[in-house]
Amino acid sequence: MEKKALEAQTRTRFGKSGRNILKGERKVPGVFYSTHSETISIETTENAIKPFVFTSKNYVIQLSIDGKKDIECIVKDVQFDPVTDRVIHFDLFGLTSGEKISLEIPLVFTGASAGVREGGLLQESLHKLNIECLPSNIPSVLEVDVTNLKLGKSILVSDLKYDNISILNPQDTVVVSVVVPRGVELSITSEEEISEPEVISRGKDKSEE
Amino acid sequence: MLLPKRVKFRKSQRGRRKGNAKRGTNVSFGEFGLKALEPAWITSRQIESCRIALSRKMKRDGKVWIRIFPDKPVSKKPLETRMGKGKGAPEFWVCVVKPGRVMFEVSGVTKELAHEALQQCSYKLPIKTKIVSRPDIE
Repeated sequence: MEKKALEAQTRTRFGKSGRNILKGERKVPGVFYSTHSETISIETTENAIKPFVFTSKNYVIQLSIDGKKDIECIVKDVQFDPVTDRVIHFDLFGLTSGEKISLEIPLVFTGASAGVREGGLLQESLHKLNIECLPSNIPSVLEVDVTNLKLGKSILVSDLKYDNISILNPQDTVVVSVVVPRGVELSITSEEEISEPEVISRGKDKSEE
Repeated sequence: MLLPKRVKFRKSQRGRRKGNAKRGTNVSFGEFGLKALEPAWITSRQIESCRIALSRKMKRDGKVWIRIFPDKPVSKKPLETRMGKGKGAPEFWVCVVKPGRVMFEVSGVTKELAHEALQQCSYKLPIKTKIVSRPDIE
C-alpha cells in the first residue's frame, strides 16, 4: 500500500467560533486516535487533506503533528458540507503493528465482461468493501475480475477471495451484476396511473367532500 | 407520475423549509448526481419531466436513480371561491427538497454524457443545482 505524508498541527481553537476561523484560513479540523494512545485534536490545510479524500485509492498516512511525531494512520471517517461538499472534519486512526483493523477499501472492476459484450449493462452495486486485516496487509484497491460474468449473472461477496483479508460485508451481498438494459421509457403509462392514493381507514374520510 | 399508494391523511400543513438537507447528501448509487442548492417543493410533474429528459439524453445506456419522492399533498381552493369553508381539495404532490439534497443519480455512461443529461435535467427544475460526483471518482 502506498504511503503519503501529512503535516498537521495541534488544534487550539475549538467551538463554533474556532471552527469558523479555521474555515476562513482554509483549514480543516480533525482528530487522531488509536487503541493505545490519547486522542489528539488536530488541524491541517484543506489542500493537504484533499489527496486522501478525493481519490479512488487507499493510502497509509505518515502523520507528523507539529513536525514531531511520524505516526502511521488511515482515514477512518470524513464529514462533508452538504451544500459545498468541502471537507469539514476528518478522523485519522493510528495503526498498531500486529493488531487487526477494519476499514473500507475501494473496489476496482477489471476485464471486459462477457455479458456486456452480449449487450448487457454492468451494474456496480458495491463501491467499497469492509475488510479486516493487519496493517501490513492493507491493499490500495481490491480488484474484481468481471471477465466471465455473463448476462443476468452477478458476483456476490461470497465469491470474492483475497489472501490475508477477511471480508466483513454479508456474504449474500451483490457486488456487481450484468443486467439487461432497459428500453427508453418516455411515455407515461396512464392506465396504471393512480389518481388519488388510498387513505388508511379513518372512517370520516369517505363522508368528506 | 410519482405519488404515494396509501396515505394516513389526505391533506397536510405547509411546514417550513429551514436549513440544509441532513440525509441523502452524497452520491450513493451512481457515479454522478444532481444536487439541490436551494430549498423548494419539487412537484411530481417536475420529477417526471426530469426523468424523461435523462432517459432521452442517455437513450438505452446507463441507469438512473430518482432519490426524491413526492409524499406531500398540496391543496388548492377553486377559483373565485370566498375564503373559509374549509381547506381546499388536494391538487398535486410535492417533495420537500432542502439545499444539499442529491435528487438524481446516473451511472454507466461517460462523464461527458452524464453531465449533458444532468444539465438537461436541471433545466426542468425551479431551483439552482450543481452536478456532483462520488468522491472516489477522479
